[in-house]
Amino acid sequence: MSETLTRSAEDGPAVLRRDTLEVRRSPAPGAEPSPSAEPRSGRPSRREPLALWTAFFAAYAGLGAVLVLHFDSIVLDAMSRVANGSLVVSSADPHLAAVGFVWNPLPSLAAIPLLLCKGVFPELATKAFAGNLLSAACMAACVAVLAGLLRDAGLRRGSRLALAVAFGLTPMIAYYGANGMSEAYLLLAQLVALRALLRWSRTRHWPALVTVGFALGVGYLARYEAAVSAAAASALVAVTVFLTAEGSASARRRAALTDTLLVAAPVGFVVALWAGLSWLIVGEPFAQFSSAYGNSSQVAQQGADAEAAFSLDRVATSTVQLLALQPLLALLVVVSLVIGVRRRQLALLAPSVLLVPVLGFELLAYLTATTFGWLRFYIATIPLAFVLAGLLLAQVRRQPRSAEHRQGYARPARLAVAGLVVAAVVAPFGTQAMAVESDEVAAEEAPQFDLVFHPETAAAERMERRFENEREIAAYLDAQQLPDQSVLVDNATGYAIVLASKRPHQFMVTTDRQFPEALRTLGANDVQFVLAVPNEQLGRSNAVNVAYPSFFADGAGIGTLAREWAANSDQPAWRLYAVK
Amino acid sequence: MSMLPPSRPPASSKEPALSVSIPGQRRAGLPSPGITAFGLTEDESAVRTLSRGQRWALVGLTVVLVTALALRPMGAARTLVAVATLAYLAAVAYRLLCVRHGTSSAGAVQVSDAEALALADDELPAYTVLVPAYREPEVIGQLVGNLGRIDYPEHKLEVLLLLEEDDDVTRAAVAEVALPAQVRVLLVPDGGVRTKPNACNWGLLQAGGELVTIYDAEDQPDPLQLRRAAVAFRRLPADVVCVQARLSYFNSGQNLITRWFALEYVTWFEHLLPGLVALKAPIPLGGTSNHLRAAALKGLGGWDPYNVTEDADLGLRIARAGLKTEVLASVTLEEANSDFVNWVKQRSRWYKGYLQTWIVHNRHPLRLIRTVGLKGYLGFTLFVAGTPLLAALNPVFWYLAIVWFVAEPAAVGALFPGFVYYPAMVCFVAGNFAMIYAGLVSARAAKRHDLLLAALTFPAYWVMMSLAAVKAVVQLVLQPSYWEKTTHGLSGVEAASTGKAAHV
Repeated sequence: MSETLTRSAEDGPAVLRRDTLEVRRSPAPGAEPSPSAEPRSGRPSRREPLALWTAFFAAYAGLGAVLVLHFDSIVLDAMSRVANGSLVVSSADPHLAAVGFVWNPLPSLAAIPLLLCKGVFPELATKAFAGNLLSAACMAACVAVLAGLLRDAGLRRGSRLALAVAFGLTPMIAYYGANGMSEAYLLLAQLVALRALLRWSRTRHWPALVTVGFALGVGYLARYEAAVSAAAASALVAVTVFLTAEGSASARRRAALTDTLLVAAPVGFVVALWAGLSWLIVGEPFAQFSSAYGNSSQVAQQGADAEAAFSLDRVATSTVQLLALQPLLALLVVVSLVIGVRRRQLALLAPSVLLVPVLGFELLAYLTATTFGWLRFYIATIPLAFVLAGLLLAQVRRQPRSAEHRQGYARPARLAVAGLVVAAVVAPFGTQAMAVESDEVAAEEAPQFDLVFHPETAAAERMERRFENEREIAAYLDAQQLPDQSVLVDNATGYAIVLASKRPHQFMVTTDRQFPEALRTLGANDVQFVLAVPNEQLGRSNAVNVAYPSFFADGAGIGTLAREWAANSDQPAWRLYAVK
Repeated sequence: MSMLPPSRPPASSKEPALSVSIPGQRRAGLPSPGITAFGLTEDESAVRTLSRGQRWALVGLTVVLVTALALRPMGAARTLVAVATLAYLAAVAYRLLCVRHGTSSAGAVQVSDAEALALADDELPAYTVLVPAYREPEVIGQLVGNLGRIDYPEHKLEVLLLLEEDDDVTRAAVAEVALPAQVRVLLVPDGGVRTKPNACNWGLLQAGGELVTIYDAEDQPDPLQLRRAAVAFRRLPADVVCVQARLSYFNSGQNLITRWFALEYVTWFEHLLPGLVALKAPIPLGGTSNHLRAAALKGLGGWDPYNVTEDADLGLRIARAGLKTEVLASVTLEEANSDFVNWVKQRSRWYKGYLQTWIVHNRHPLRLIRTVGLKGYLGFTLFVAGTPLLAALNPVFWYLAIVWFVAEPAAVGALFPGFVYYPAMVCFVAGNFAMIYAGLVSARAAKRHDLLLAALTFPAYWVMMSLAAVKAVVQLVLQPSYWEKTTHGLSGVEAASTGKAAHV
């Protein structure tokens, strides 16, 4: 819908002037805004975005296949998202709400159609490769959208393709395109929204605001951060329209409110819908923040050794991370803001307005010790830098020689900007490659890279054994030919077992509606086995441990130990207790 | 659980008010056989609600339904819920499709001021304006002023003021003002059906114009509208026999009801009507400001005097004859109904008329599909029958939704098996949001920022629509020909031209 709405051009509909009873109508609908209003180079064609998407999808999916299928480099969060999707369709109690409410549902829901093909390609489920295909598709779309955005800005084919391709090849972008994480969804939503917001900034083509709202609304279904971008975009629209609209203060206020709602309403709707469903079904509107499985809780559970809020260490870590992703970001932002304000070009402000608050939000969450210090939380720096570089390049290139001298840029200024752009494009390749080698800066990524490049290290060996136990447990249970819902397990910790099993119906998982009752009456119902993890760290929120704190240690008087798998990677030890 | 914004209302008119049952007999004095003087047959008219075939079909359907409910109550109830859900989904989808086509299609026919004024007097066709009025003495003054603003050569314009013979009050009011030279008062003979379309047929019989249009007495048309229509007809192919001007309200700021009403019209004329044109679906005409080629109108049989939304019916007959309707970018300001009870009465008459229209045109469904195409037929059904029926059904689903959210009774759950429940939920949640958002988009498209509050509170208006729809359905069964009286002159807005001396 959003796409079609934006297609209609600036066709001011018939406006009735009460005083004269006169009808005025601007040019026929469908007419494109004048070229001066929106510089474009080259004819709009679908070939370029399609070619970019196809090439990068193939590259990311190929990289993902090598990582997952060859190196067993599986990212925990990516796998748990796929596992949630799998519960909706292949569990003993299939229902939509089984997708869970701690994590936003889009990556899980999107995986469902692919999971239906697991008969032909079991790794789609067992190694969560479905997630990798989806992140590859989204990140490849990011590259195509970025190229389109740069074309809108007036960049010629050579420079816009160079920028888009460089963006797509940046190590962090390539890795997150390949690894199945939800970063790609968020970046896609933000880039689509940014492209539309830039169009609106240049032409005030209001239907573009519909696109902004819908892109971020869909983005919210993948990541909460989209709401921050939506708030920032709404504020930008509100202030701009209020300051520039015609009429009395109250008329301008109304105009600003209408346009702001075009952006804010879809996102507000999705936020309210998701929170409402979550509240109705699990009793908590924002489970990621309040649930025992959520981020804040995870930080608290793992955080015995954590630094205090606002500690020097935290400031240092996040600063290094931001610099590693794009050392020149601050310079790009400042230069674009200065030029944007001096030349009164809203388009130069819009990217920073949309994305800097997201970085600020992540930074604040980390500094206040409510989330982890993951490098990927600042990934928006990368598209932001590329967009700003492109817009600045378009700035200094735009004026032809004959243009009024006052409007043009002096040669030194043009050279400086060009130099900044080149440096900004090249630098991240070096800094990001260095960052992913460091456990301090890239705590999540570094072990995965070790797995590929330094397989002899202890860390890499631990990584290689990740999910080994889980796959073994699944195979062991599959061989028992157990009836449906006879093995109780909390899927927040046991998702890898459930995903790896060929007989997922044998599990009684947390999302099954019979789970609470089964857990309460353990020993007196049809559940035959319980899979337990130690009651420590993340295991403290495991439903079995919450109900029976000593279950892992002694079976809590209900279970007798049947088998045990000692911890051999970053995953916990497992014990299988027979309860019947 | 699906509840839908009942859809956009018929753009119909405010008829001369009348609340009498329409006797079945023909009016004496009409020269040729048929329902109208122009040969409209009984088969094409709502003179009888159901044809014999339709009566049998209805009886058969009822028998099947009752039997099913008796033998397999749960299965039958589930089937009904599934069918309703499918209808809701289709209605939402069709509406969004219309909006999509409406925003991207060429839209209304544009005739600029310069083009409208460029045509020399001799090149303009003779024009007849029909102004039916009944017991509306207070609007006669406005009429004179409004006519005075129309820019059309005197010798080419004929205004027929259509009054019922027994309407003493209006006749007295007319006698007191100096009518412009080109206004002729026609007395519609007493003794038969007494409806707006009947009066219009009487007017059409004596009309000398090549082009014909209808205005209500208090309408304030764009002064260049007749010229624009004349230019449009010259420009458009001969199979375009009707151009519909946009309607808007001069009193939209009066209260929330008039704001909702105005927003509804904005949505209708900005998005849905152009969308229907683009989708080549039959277009239910608005009650006034539809400009017609007189010869074609007579050939189509004139207006159906027994249909309470004769305009919607005529739009359908135009499509069935393979002829076309276009939208004209010119606005007529009307008075929006500002009173709750009055609004419900007016709306229930529109809905009843929509249902009458759907029934009349479904006497030979296959023939209809052959002429307007399956897509056109589905569009027609979703708009003309779907609008009132789904609005009438809404309270049932609202009730089920509330009960479900509050108590989750197993009986309600059983009505919605998974394959119905999820689509119904999507329809209920996303459909309602989409409709509110579409209202916001329409208000923005029309630069009507004053309608923002109306857009955000639209669901309350849907409740009013549901009330009207239930009333319409009940009345269609009990009193099919009862004509709800709509009171005018509630706006309190002094029409700019009231009392101004007429000069043309």
